[in-house]
Amino acid sequence: MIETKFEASVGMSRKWDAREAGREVAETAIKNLSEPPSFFLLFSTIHYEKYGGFQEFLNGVWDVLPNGTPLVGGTVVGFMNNYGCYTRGASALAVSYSNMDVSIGIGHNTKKNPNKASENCARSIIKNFKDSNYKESFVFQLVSGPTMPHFPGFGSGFILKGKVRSSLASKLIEVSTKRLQKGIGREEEVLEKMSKSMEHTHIMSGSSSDDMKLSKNYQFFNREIFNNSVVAIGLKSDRKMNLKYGHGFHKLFDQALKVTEKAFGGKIIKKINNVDAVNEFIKTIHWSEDMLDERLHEKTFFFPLGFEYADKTLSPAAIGAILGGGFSFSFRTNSDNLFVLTASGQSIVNAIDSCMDRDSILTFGISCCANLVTLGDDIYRVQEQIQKYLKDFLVIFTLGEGVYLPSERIPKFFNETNIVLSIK
Amino acid sequence: MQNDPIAMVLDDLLRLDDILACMVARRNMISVMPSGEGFKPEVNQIWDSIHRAMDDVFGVISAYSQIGLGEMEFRLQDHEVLFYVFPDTENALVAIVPALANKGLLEVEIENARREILKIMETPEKEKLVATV
Repeated sequence: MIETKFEASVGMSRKWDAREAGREVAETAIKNLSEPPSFFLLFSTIHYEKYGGFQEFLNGVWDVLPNGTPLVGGTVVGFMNNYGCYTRGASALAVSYSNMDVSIGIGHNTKKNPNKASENCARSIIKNFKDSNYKESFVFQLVSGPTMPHFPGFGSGFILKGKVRSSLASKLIEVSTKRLQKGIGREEEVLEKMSKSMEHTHIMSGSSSDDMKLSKNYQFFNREIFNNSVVAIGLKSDRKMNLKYGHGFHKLFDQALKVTEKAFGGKIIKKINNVDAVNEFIKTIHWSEDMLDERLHEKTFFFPLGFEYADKTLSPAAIGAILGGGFSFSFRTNSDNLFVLTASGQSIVNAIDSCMDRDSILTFGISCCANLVTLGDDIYRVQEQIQKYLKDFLVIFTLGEGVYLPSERIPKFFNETNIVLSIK
Repeated sequence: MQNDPIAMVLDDLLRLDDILACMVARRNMISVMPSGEGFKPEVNQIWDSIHRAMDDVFGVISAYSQIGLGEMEFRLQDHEVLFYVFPDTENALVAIVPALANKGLLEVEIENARREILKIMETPEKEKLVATV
């Protein structure tokens, strides 16, 4: 085989028409490659659903992409690349390199049975890697994120007040998630299973979303569109692959809030210190109850709760919904000791930048969409800083972030965090 | 104005669900409107009040844009009005959004629209056009 040099290129489209956008994002991604791509990562915001649909979008991509190119991706809240920052459009990363084995996998029904979905996905990837001689290995998985269930009489807002309704809503969310696949994403369970299946592999996990309305999200796998799925790409190569992660949060107080009643495997917190969790939370941070309105996330994104993993890594967990006296997170907390965390805009900006590697020849990362909500157009501070030292990079904004490093052996899930792959 | 590139940028911005109105404006003057049917009907009832308040805000922009005033915003009833000032001018890209909109996501696209408009304004013909409207 003729050896090719490592090439990575980022493409983008801001066209409204789905087919045209698909063509443009593929054209701009591969035009700078001197060889056909070894793989293609594709992401878009939810807008194409109304402007032709995602099948047309993918059809446009395949009008351009060489047949047989492994393709995975899905819908995300936005993205940041060498062209700028966007919450509408599509972006892609195309890579070409001969000393790399590529394998893709898919698993379905992630909300109903995350273990089985992850197993099926991992099986495809592992099967294609059994003859690979490369030492460095990495998997990126995009998992269908949470979707807000709609119950008649309850609406589908993030705030449900009243003990009876909220107690019922807590039970309904669990049933809805497991039976109807509308509810909490269970992405951390997918990651945990994936890390058991591939314990010597670096894993980065992002949660697919729409524009944070939590109505729907889609995953792309070759020429098809799916929902409630996990799609993943595995890479094995002779190139060094480095995964860095971090966030801008620290504890506001050292004293922990003790979870004394929970539901749905720790995703719903009902009582803290034996009193209603919401009351205890707002008392701790000196808020009044009227602060908890439909603008909830604008405030709680700056004051997430968090817990520590066994190695003391702090994991921010943003409050997803208020359910009467309790609240839900988007994932299971691994500890009953919760801390109130806080961050500033500057610490969030610094956290993203510090995950980057200035010597990287490929930079691909995920960052929580909460960073977009909190920074708004100040996200350009991050993009302009990164552009000073990186020519091509792609960061997608997701609704949950997970990482597994073989050196740590702890699968970790977070909100409001950044995880970046750098290949050297 | 037909095929006005700035109007086309505004048209793109107005296609986002939560952008109810957008324009390039200065005190007592709307320089460029979107080229289609105008603003979304949700702003019709409150437009007069918003328009008067905008003029007062432009007074502040006029006074401070030369020393780096970049953005202003205010909330009126159930709407927020965001001003993205063009540097060293008294003009701004103005967008009206619902008060409960996901402002962070919208701000990114409003900033993108401002950057595109700035690029267009850097062409000599466009600078003349904006100054004389």
